[in-house]
Amino acid sequence: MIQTPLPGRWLLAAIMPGDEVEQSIVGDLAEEYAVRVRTDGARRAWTWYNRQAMGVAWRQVAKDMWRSAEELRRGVVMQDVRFAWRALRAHAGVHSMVVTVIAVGVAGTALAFSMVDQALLKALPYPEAGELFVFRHLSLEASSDAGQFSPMDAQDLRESLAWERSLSTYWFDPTSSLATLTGEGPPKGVATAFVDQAFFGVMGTEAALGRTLGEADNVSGRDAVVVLSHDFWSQELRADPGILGQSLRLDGGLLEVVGVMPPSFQFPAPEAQVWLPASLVTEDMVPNRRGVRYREGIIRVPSPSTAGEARVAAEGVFARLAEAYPDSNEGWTRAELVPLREALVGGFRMGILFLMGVTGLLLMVVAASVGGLLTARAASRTREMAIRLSIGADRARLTRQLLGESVLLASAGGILGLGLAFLASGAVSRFTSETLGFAASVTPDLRVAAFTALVSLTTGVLLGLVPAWAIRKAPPSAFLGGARQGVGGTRRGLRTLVLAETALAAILLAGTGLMTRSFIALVDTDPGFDTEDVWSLRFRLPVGDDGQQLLRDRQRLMDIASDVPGVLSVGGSKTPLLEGGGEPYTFGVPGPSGDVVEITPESGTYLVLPGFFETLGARFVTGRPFTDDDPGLTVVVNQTLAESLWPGEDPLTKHFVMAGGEWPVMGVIESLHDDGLAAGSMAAVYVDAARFPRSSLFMFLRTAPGAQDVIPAVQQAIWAEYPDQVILETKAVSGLIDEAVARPRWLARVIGVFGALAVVLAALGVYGVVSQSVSNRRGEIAVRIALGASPDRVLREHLSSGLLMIGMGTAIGLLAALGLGQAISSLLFGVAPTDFVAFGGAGLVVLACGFVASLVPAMRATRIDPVHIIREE
Amino acid sequence: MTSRSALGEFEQLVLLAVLAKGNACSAIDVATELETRASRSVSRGALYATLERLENKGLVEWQIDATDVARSGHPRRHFTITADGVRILRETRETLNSFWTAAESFLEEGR
Repeated sequence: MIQTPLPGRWLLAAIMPGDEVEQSIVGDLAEEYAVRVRTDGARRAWTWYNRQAMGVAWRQVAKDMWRSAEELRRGVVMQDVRFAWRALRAHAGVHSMVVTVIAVGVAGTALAFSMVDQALLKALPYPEAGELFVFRHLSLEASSDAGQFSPMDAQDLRESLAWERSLSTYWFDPTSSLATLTGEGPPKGVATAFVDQAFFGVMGTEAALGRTLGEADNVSGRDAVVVLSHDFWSQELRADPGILGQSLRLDGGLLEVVGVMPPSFQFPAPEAQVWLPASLVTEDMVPNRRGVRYREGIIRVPSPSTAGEARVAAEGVFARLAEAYPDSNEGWTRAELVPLREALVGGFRMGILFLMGVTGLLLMVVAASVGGLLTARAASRTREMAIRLSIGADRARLTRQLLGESVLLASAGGILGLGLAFLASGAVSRFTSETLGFAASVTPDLRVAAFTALVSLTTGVLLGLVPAWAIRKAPPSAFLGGARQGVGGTRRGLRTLVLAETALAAILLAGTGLMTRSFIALVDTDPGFDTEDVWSLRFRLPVGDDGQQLLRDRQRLMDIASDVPGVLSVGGSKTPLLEGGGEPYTFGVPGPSGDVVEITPESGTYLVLPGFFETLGARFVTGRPFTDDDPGLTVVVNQTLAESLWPGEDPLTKHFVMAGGEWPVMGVIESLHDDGLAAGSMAAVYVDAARFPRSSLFMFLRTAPGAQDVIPAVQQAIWAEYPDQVILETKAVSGLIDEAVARPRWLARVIGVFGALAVVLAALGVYGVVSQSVSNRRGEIAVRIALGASPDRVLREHLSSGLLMIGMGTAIGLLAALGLGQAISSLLFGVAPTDFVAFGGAGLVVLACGFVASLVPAMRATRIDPVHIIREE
Repeated sequence: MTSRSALGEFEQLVLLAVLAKGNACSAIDVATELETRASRSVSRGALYATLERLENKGLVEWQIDATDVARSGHPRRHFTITADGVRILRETRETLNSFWTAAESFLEEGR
C-alpha cells in the first residue's frame, strides 16, 4: 500500500493510536487515498486525504472531550483525585518528605532566579542602554587601576574628539561624596553625585518633575542648583509637589531645587540621593590636579559596535596628553570600554555565580533524592498495579492516577516553596544587599511565579512519567512475577541515584569546609590595630572660604573630644578603616645609584592626624609616629612598603621627594590592612594631614574600658560649640571588623546550610534505597536465614553493597570539588583551594552519614523472621 | 415512533446505502454509494461519526474481516443493517409516504 501524506498520517497517529475501530478508519482512508491517486491525480488526492484526516481527528477529539466532561460529571475524575489523595495519605511520611524536599528546591530556585533576573535579565531603565559603556582611563602597568579620570584629562579628551555630548564624568563615592543637609530637621548626611554638564544627556533620562542639570548649570557662580532622587524627595521632603524653586541648605550653601528624577533613575548607584554640578567640587574635597584621578566616566556610543573605535581614538588623545604632561600622565595611555550592565553586575557576579552554583547542586540533590524516594515507592506499588490491571483496570486511568499523584505532590511542594521563598526573601535580600551589595527581593512577580510553576509542574510530570511508563506497555504478569524485584532496571537506577546523591553532598560539604575555614582564617586575621574600646566618628566639615578655617575647626573638634572625661586619646584620618581610599600620589624615592625612582604606593597615601597611631594601637616595627612638633612634613610607611623598597636597609635613613621637598621617614608600622582584611597588606604611606584641608574626617577615640557613655558626652560637647556639625556615623571599631567579615560569614552560612541540607537529603535517599532493597529481598533473606546464614553475614552483605556506592560517590564528589575549589578560589582567604582538612572532613562526614543511613535498614534485614516471611510468600 | 429512533436525513441515507450495498459492505462502499447516488461529497469524519451513532442506536453492526490482511495491519470492518435498522427504515418510509400523500394536492396545484 502506498504511503499516505505526512501531515494527515501524523495527525491520525497522534490522535487515533488506539483500538481496532480507529485502526480500521485509518486503513479505510489509506485505501481510498490509493484509489484517488490513480483516478484524481496525486495533488487532489493529497488535499483530499489531509482534509478527511483533519475531519476524522477533530470528531475524535470532540468525542474524547465530551467523554471526559461526562466522566467529570459522573465524578470519575473526582474519584481519581480522591484516590490519589488517599494513596498519598497512606504513606504520609514519605510524601511529606517529598513535598518538603521539593519545596526547599523550589524556594532556592525562586530566590536564585529572581537574583539572576534582576542582575542579568531585566532591562536597564535607560533609553538605548546598550549604547552606554563605562569608560576607564588606565595606566600601562597597573592592572588594579580603578580607571578614573581627572577632570582635566576628561575635558581635553572631550574637546579633542568633539565628544562634548557623549562623554560624561562624575564623582560618586558613598564614603566621601557626602553633603550635609541642614535646615530640614536635625542635620544629616546626603549621598551626593557630582556630575558634569553632559551627564543627564548621556544617560538620556528626563526629570519626572522640573528639569535635569545641563550645560549652563556647570559654571561656577551659576551652579547653586540640585536635582533630587525620587526616594529623597518622597522620604525626606514628604513628596512636596511645590519643591521646585525652593532651596536646600547643603554643606552650608543654599541650592535651588530644579528637578526630581523618576524612581527608576538610580545612577551611579541606588544610594545616590542628590545630583549636584561637578563645579561644586572644591579644592578641599579633592585637589584639582591632572594627576588626581577620581571621576568615573560613562560614554554613549552611536552603536555598540563602535565602542572599539571610541577606545582607539581615546588612546590617541591619551598618548598626546602623556607627551604634553609627562609628570602626571606618563604611562596613562590605556582606555577601556565596558558595557554598562557588565560593569554594574561585575562586582557581585562572583557572588551570584556562587549562589547559582550552590542552588544548582542542591537542586540536583533534591531531584536525585525525590527520584529515589518515589522510584523506591513505585517499585513497592507494582503489586497493587498488577492486581488492578489483571482485574481489568483501564491503563489510561492508572497512568492518569500516577501522574495525578506526582503532580499533586509537586504542586504542593511548589506552593510551599514559593511561600518559603517569600518568607525568606526579606532576610535574604537584607543579607545580600549588605554583604554582596546586591538586593534579591522575590517580588510577587508574574515571571517568578511562572518560573516556579514551570519548575514544579515539570518535576511533577517527570516524576510521574517513570512509573506510568513502566505500566504502559508491560502485561500484568510482568508485575506479579517481578513484584519483589522491582520493574526493569529500577535497582540499577536506584544505585546510580545513591552514587549521584553522595557525590553531590560531598561537593557541597567540601565547599562548606573551604568557606568555613576561610571565614575562620579571616576572623583570626590580625588587623594591625586594637579593636576594643576604640570608636570611629565620621564628620564632614563645613567648607570655608579658605582651607585655614577648616584646619582650625578640625583641630578644635579633636581638642573638644580629647577634653571629655573618659577619652584616653584621639586621632584622625581622612579615610575610614579597612575601606581603602588612599590618595594615589606618586613620590620620588632615591634609588640605589642615587637617582630618583618614582613610586606610587599600591594601597595609596593616607592622610592621618597626629594621635592616629597611638589611638588605634598600631605597632611600630621601628621608629615613631609623627608629631605636631616635627619640623616640616614627615611620613610613616608600612612594613610591606619598607621591605619592598629598601630590603635589608634602615628605612629611617630614607626620605620621599615630593613637591620639591624631602619628607623623612619617621617610622615603620605593621600593616593596617587598609584595603580590607582580605586584601592582604599592600604598600601604604601615612602623611601628617595637619597641612591638608580635607572636609572628610574620621575621628578615632580610645576610651577607658567599658566606658560607652563617653560617646554621647563627646557628641554633646561638640554640639555645644558647633550646633550645626553633624556626626554622620558613630561606630565601634570592633563592629568594623564584624562588617568586614560579614560577606565571608554570609557565604559560609549559605553554603553551610546548603551543605547540611544536601547531607540530610542524601542520607534520606540512601536510607530509602537500602530499606527498599531490604524489603524487596525479604523472601531471599528469609530463606538464607532459615538455611542457617548468620545475621552478621546478612548485615555485611547489605552494608557492603550500599557502602561501595557511597564510597564511590564520595570519591567522585571530592574529585569534582577540587574543580569547585579552583572556581571559588577568589572567594577564599588564607585557605588553599585543595585544603586537606576541608576535603578530608567532608569525605568523612558523608561516609559516616551514609554508613548510618544504610546500617539502620540493614539491621532490619537481620531481624527478619523466616517463618513469617516464607508463610507470607 | 420513539424519539430514540428518530432518524436524521444523513442517518437515513447511510442506512439506505448499507442496505443497498447488500450485507457486509465496508465503510468505503457506503461512502462510494452515497457519493454516486446522492451526487454529494461526503466528509469521512461525518460518515464515521454517523456510523458510530447508528451502531450505538443498534441499527447497524459490524464485524472485522479476518481474511483481509492486505491493509498493512489495518483491519477492515463490514457493516450490516440490523433487524431494528430495517424496521426503522420501514417506519420512516411510512411516515414520509403519509406526508407525501397529504402534500400531493398542494404540489399538483403549484405545478
